[in-house]
Amino acid sequence: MTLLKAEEIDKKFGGIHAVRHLNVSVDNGEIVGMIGPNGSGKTTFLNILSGIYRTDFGKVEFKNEDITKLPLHCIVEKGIARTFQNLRIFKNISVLENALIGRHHLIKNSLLDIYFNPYLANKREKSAYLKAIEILELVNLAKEKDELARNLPYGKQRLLEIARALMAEPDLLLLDEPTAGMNHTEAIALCEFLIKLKEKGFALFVIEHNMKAIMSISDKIIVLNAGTKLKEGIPREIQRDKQVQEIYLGKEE
Amino acid sequence: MFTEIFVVGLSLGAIYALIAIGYSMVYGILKLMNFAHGDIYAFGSFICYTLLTKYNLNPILSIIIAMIVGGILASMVERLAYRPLRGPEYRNISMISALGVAYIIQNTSENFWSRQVHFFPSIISNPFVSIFGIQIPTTQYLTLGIVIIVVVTLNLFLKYHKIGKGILCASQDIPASSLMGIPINKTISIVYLLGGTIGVIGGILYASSYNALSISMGFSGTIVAFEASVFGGIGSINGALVGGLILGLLHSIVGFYVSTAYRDVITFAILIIILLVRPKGILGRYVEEKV
Amino acid sequence: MKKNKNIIIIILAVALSFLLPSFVKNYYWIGIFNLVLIYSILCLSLNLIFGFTNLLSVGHAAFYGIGAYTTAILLTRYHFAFFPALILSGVIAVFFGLFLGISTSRVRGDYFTVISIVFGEIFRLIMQNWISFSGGAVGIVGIPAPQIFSWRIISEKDFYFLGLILFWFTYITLSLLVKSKLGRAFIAIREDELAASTMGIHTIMYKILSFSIGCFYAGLAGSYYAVYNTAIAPSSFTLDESCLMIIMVVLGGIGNLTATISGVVVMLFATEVFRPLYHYRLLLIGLIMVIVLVRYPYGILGIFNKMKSIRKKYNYRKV
Repeated sequence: MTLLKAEEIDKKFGGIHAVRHLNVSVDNGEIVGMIGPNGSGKTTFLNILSGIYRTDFGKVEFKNEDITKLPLHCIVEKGIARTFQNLRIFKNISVLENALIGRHHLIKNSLLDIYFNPYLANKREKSAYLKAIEILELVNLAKEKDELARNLPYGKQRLLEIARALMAEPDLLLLDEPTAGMNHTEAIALCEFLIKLKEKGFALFVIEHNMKAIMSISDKIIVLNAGTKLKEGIPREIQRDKQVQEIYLGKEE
Repeated sequence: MFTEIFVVGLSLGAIYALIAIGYSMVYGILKLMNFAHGDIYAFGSFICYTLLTKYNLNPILSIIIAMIVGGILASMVERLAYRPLRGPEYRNISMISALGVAYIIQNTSENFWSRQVHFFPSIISNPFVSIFGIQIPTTQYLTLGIVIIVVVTLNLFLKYHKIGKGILCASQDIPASSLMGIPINKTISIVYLLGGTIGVIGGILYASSYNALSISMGFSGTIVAFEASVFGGIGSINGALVGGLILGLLHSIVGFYVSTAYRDVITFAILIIILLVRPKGILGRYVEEKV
Repeated sequence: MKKNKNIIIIILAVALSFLLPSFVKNYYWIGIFNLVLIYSILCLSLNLIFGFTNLLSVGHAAFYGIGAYTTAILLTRYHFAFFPALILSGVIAVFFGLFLGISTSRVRGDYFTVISIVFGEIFRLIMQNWISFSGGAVGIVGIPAPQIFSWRIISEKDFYFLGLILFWFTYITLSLLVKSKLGRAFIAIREDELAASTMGIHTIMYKILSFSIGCFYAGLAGSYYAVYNTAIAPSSFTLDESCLMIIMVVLGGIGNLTATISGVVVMLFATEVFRPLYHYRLLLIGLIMVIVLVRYPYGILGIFNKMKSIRKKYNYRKV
């Protein structure tokens, strides 16, 4: 079943046409990879999906609901969570608190609950805490839960960002270059983790530069060039494709 | 009557523009609200006042000395209080530091010159000139003239001189310009130097056209500079000019038709309304933030 | 386990603070404690706004003033009882906080700062010029001593207890707040607004919320100040006051409630020590501001944490 359907997405920045009439769909429990040279509009597209940019044209449908015009903070409630290319974790607070912020919209405490219904409020906090421990264990960060996020090594910060997104219990996870800055072993571990997530029923949309990684995990790959879709297909097709090789390796003379 | 108010407002606005230019340039390059700006130009104006009244120095010479003092003071402040706190994580902290500097300068000048209002002599003889049947003091015209000269020179400087181009680059992206070989620290110092110098011109013109000078001018100058910058779109010299003129007209019209006491209240209300409708100011352009 | 320890520490601190007047009989010192209490309430609430949510408000004195004027006018002209006046002072401060917060909700953070300054100045200007309402520059005098049920609050010591109740109310409610989901949302906004909103935090709403909650406590502090001082004037609610609060917050440590109190204590005792240098008061405040910021941008808390981490390192080495 189709989870996310983006139709005819188009975005201009001044004179630059970043994304041109792009159609993308993600099915339930599927990993969709997006590759393309630098500046081909991958991150812009992801920003449109997650509500940071407004598309100039076209619409985004999620679970058959139009989410194109939803304000940024409502997107996560619908079931889409994301990570950022340049890591946007909350550096000066602990790992645990980072994870708990990811659960913001699922903790139903209001201002009044905190003061007038402390028992209920504590119960909700407690269950959020247990969930946070569970997810931190999943990404092997449970031991560092009281450490400040800024003190973690880079690879673990990336995992923390994914954990924060998972805390929102999304149906679709948007990952912007999750293996960037990781060494080979870390990248392989992350790929295994992403496949584990897929088996748990999450759908993933991954932008990646690490070809090996993306080819090994994706069910479907979309190649973007200058804002337009160049190719779409299973990894093996993409690997063999002449055009794709050309934009990455240059033309053979 | 209205024409007189209009011309008075324009020349007041021209002074505001001079004060706002330095403020707006600093914001453009460092994204820092320089709360010490007003107190720096007030200090410079007081230097000019002392040279004129106490030492009977030649007006031109004393103005030049005051300008130099203002410029040096501004870049010194930058060196000591702002430079150690540069960078996005210190955005708020550096603003507080600026407030601290404002206090230091204000209190120092207070101990030199006391809080009372001083009589500032007119720099040029001030006969009324009648143009198109309106009686206007010459200072007002002089003010307008000076502003035009300053704005034109500055624009040419930014456009054609090497340092000026460096300033424009740095206001776009500091790390990138630094990689391109623009000496960032020097460039920023020059911006402060220019801002302080031009601010002092504004302060002296203000003092001499109203024959009054006081410490409180510093703080109200900072606020005026902010309001003018926001009206015109912060960060650009021409924006500061337009904003200053609008604010000057507004002040003189409201001051005449409504009340001087509530002039600032009304300006504030208008400011809030403008920011509600256009969070980046009237002329400020909306740029989508790159993520 | 850790939570229980914290509760015990707080209970001990509360008990100790209530017993303090039995040890210190000198009214001069109790007077200074009262000032510490007022500024602690103000700075705790300012820390919520500035330290947790990263809204640098330099107009906190205006909300303090709004609370003070509300109580003064209600008590002298409408003969309100103190308690309802206290609550109303907070509510009216919130009202103005909402006004300022909503009208600046879409502007950049640094614009907000300047607007908060202008707001504070406008408040002072109106209070100075609207003589029939606020008594002009003289202000309002002869504010009657408050009475809560049968407790008439007259002596310095009574005011100390009243202030202490307000202080602990502020401290405990704010501590609960910043530990909750809302507090985490505020911190997320401080750390990274965009990331916060992708995590489902309605940043504009939470900023307004944090700001107006902070204003509530400022209103309470103002109300207390009005009855404590029995006279109020616009000169008590100037920009200088706002700046003093900011520097107390920074000196203590941004984003930490307990550290704030240390900032207040240090700063107030410093001003007492420097009292003979009255003419240079602002100069000194300015110098302290700049030096603290340039040398120790994380305040007393930062120094404390550094010492702790050095000690930790040392212990590691020993093992």
